[in-house]
Amino acid sequence: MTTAIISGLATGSIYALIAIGYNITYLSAGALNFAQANLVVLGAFLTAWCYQHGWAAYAIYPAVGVAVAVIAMLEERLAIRPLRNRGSHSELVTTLGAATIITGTIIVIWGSDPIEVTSFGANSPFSILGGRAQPIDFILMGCAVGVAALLVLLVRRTSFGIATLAQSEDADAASLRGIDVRRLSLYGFGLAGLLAGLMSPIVGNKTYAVASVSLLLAVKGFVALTFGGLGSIEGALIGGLCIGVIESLAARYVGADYRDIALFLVFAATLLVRPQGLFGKPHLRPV
Amino acid sequence: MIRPAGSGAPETDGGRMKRRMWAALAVLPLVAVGACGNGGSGGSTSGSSSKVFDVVFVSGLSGPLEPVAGPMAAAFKASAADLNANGGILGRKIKIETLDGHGDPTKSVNVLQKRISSGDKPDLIYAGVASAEVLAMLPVAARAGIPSVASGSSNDINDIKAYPLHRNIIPSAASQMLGLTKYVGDRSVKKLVVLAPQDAQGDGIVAAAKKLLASSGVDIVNQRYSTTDVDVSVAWEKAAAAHPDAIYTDCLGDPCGRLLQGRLKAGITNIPTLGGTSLGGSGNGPASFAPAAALKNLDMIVFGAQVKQATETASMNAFLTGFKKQYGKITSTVAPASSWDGLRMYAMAAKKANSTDPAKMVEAISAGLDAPSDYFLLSTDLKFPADKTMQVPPVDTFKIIPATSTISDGQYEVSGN
Repeated sequence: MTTAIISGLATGSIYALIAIGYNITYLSAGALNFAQANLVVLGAFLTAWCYQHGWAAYAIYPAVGVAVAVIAMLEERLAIRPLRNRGSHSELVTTLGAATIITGTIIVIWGSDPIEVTSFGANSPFSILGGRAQPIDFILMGCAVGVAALLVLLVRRTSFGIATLAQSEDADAASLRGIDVRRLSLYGFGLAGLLAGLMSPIVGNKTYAVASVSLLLAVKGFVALTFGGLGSIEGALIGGLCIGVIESLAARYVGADYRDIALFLVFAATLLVRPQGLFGKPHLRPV
Repeated sequence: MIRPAGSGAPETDGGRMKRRMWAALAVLPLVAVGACGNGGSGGSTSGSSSKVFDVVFVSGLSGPLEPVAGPMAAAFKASAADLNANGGILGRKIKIETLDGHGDPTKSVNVLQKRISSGDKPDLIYAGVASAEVLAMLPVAARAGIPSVASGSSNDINDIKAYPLHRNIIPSAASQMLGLTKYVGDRSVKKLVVLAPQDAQGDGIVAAAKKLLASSGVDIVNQRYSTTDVDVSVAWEKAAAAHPDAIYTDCLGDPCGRLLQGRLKAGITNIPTLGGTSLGGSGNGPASFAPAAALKNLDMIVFGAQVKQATETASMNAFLTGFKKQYGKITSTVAPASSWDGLRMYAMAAKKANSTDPAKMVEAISAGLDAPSDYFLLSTDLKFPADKTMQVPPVDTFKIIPATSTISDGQYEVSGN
């Protein structure tokens, strides 16, 4: 059971990191960036490319982080900003379009075969508490918890974070109070992109750089987001970890066939009891 | 004799005679004109009266299939160039036309249908490289009465009643597991875990393993993994819990890295493991994407053509030279070799039947081509059972090599494990 729990927590940490990325753009721009997982995968390919070309590790992390942040900001300018104040939710389509373009570009440049992302020297497996684990499993868990903690502090203790909360409550009111919501949106996408870029060498070490994995991460990240509660960083973390563990235990003790069924049964049951998710706040709607 | 679908009701002798006379009168002027030009020609064609042997290659030449279809189209052209340099097919020069279906079965059918309707029917169709597009195009080819060849591996292709003029150059998935019997016998395996993907490919693998080892007394444990699993170690751990003497597994492309990483993490590299042909055909081989420690005690089944020999056959040398000339580099050998062989199969069939009539060529293939052992690249000979469209290759078509072997110029250089 130990192996299944550790594997589930490590995989769940990846889902949590994607869900946290969704939350950043939701809070800062009022839009879910469905290309978040694709940005992580793009970062994994860039990392593999940098290693193949002899870059040092200390240079790769910031370089990939900045590169992916710039691409995310470009996405905001092209796929989000033109739709602002139009009253529809067209960004659901345009961010999916951005995701498709990113994946298509990856396949054209790198093909569809898996590429190993060797972002750590030694990733030798070891025994622990009667199970098996790799260092990357614990690094992923540490990153997910650390990123979530930092973002909670950022949102609650900085003017940028408070501005994002104001924007997410009422963008028009926030704008009237002097908050530059356009700039906030751009910075939010940049931050989500930076997170995707910095985490991609670590995520890629677990998933490999492979184009098709972005769809899986996008879907599971979205499930983690809904499970934990839209707009809640803590919820994204707990949601991601729960989903990872449920999947892993179901695969180990019920069978690979029932992995997704078990996950969605728990997911559906939770949403029936708490439609806003574990940590989400119910929204009142005037009728 | 195998006839094209919808070839009509039987004719009386008198009716047939009258028809032949009219046909002879109609053809006379053409014969006269033809006599002034290129002399050599084979028998009747599937509709074309041209001197060239028209072949249409349809597949995803752009899009997700391009990495496979592009090299295969290049090898197909190289095969045509090689055959043309040796007189073509019964004196007819081979002309290759490539059509892009973008890897989409519907689009593939559309471009093929448009081509067939636009004028002279082609003499042969290469109907795709992936099972989905092959299965979409085969009914079109069958309705038009045009012989076809393809590289899909789905068992649904193996339907001779539906596709009487089709002969598939790639053996069925089950045939590609022939090496498993030898592996199990050599190691006196009593209990084998089959760790297969949770999809149609996996269903085929499990069914084939059970069939192959039915009389061997080997206890087979069916264990699955999901191709979307980020961490596959749980599936390996479950497989090891059955205490097998060996494990058989396979994967195609994307999940292979995670599958082998899971084997390493689960700490069961001490259990002898055999990978299928898909593993050996993924990327540039497992050694290119998996850590060396994950490859310990791991062998894989590969086509003999994938393994570099000290002295290659004349056919292999011609293929390597021609393919490199067409494509600029050699990516892998097995898929391009299949399209190379596909055209040569029909060239040999036409020679044996002394005709390019579709039914006669296909009949010659089914009867056995008895080609020299080095004529084809993938098999020493092509054997098609009378009731099948897919070949059943000789066991020596496949080799078992260590997964640590590396690929150079598209072929494995065998190295120890």
